[in-house]
Amino acid sequence: MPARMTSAMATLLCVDLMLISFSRFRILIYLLTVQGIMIGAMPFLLRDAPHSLFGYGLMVLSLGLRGVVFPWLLLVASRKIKLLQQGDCVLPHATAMALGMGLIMYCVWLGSRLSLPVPPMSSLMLPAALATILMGLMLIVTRRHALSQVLGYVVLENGISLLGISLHVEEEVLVELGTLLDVFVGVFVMGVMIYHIRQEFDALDMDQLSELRE
Amino acid sequence: MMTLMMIPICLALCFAPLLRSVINKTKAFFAGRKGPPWLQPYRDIRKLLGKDAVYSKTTTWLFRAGPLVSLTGVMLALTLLPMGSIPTLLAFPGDFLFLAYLLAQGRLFVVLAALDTGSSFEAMGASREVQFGALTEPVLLLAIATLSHHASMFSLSSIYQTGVPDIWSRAPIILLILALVFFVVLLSENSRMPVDDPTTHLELTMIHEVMVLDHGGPDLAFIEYMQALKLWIFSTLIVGLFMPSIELPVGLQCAIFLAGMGVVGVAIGLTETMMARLRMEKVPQLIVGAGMLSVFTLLLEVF
Repeated sequence: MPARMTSAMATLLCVDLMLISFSRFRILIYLLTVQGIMIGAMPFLLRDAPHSLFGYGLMVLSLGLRGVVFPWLLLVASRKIKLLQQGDCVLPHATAMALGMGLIMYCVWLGSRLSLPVPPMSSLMLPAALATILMGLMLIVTRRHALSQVLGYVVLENGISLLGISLHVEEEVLVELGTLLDVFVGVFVMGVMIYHIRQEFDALDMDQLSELRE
Repeated sequence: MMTLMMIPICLALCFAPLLRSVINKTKAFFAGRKGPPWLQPYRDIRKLLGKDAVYSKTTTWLFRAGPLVSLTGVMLALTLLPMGSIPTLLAFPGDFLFLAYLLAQGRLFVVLAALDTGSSFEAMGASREVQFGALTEPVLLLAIATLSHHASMFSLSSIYQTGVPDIWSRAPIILLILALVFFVVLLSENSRMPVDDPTTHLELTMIHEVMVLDHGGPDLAFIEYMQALKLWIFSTLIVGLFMPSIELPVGLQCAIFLAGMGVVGVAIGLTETMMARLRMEKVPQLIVGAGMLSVFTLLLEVF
């Protein structure tokens, strides 16, 4: 079990690294799907005790939203505005990758320093959660396009959820509900925002917005 | 014991050109063609060996030494490579550095021979070869160092024979990522598709092929054979990661090994079918990405 857990966490870290180094939006969506399914399925792997029906339903809901609904929404939106083939990272490729690697190193170091009340299943669990959060933040900061920033936001929330799982929070339902609500509202609000930005300016490039004057 | 040790080397010497046929047949299959016959690489080499070499007056002994020295180096590298549980001819702590240096020496002499002709076209190919080589080599060393770190062993044969099964039981993901890294290194070192197109002989984009334009006859045969062996060496590094750890009869091990090589050949063929050649400035990104992955696996401490 720990070996399998370590492999899963290493895969998540890999996905994080790829998220920062690939620039095409289509690939980002595929990566987000993989990440969502893995994080959504994590509670099923961890719990041994039988679940309550409510908790079970919530896990399925979380898996469905993270693994299917969000990527699908982003895919539909990006198809509409024909974003799929473009890259929009403000950093050169190698720099972004080196930065991502540095962040992962930092997270692995940090994960080994922090002591948790209950030790997690795998020593890589905490680094993976932290790295996912930081990668989400990096995506929001380094991408030009509004839709990529939404994607970064979803990644960030995935990371928070993974952190909740790895901390063995007693009221896990609350954490899950909290993040899911956050993301869902977030994605919808941003959907509306993006729609309005597009109506007004014909473009979703955030660099152009910074040139606006009163 | 000695005969047992010779088996992997003999397999390499006999079947290396066949690996190219596997790639060509795979590509032909997906393109709906019949492809060249299975024995075509052997026939090419035999044809070239039967010819006379022509040397330009501007070349020196370096030009003649190039193919010979690089072929010798690569053949020597074969003695270090483990296959299943068969002991290798040469094994000492740190021999993977020796492997990397032997391959680098092969590259150096091909490059020197290309520069010796005084042709600017070949010099350009040499420059590109060295540029990509300088990027690929650290990645290869880093990947093997990662394996060595996780296995806590320092010679190729002990890493592959006792370290790899151990890593499989602890964290298989490391080996899967490293297999990917080795595959990228293989593609780059052997001028396969996303890095270089082995079928374009007169394009400005080509790298390896341009350096050997002035070689002919036996020299070209040596170089072709050297490249086939090089492909074999890198494929061995990949297949070795997936060899079964249980004790099997030698014949069965050879069969599994050859089947694994076939799979790698098909994988290369598939990659070449599906991918176009990358733009020149994108190639370092691919190689650096592979390097990042191996740094990443080095980081994964498995407790």
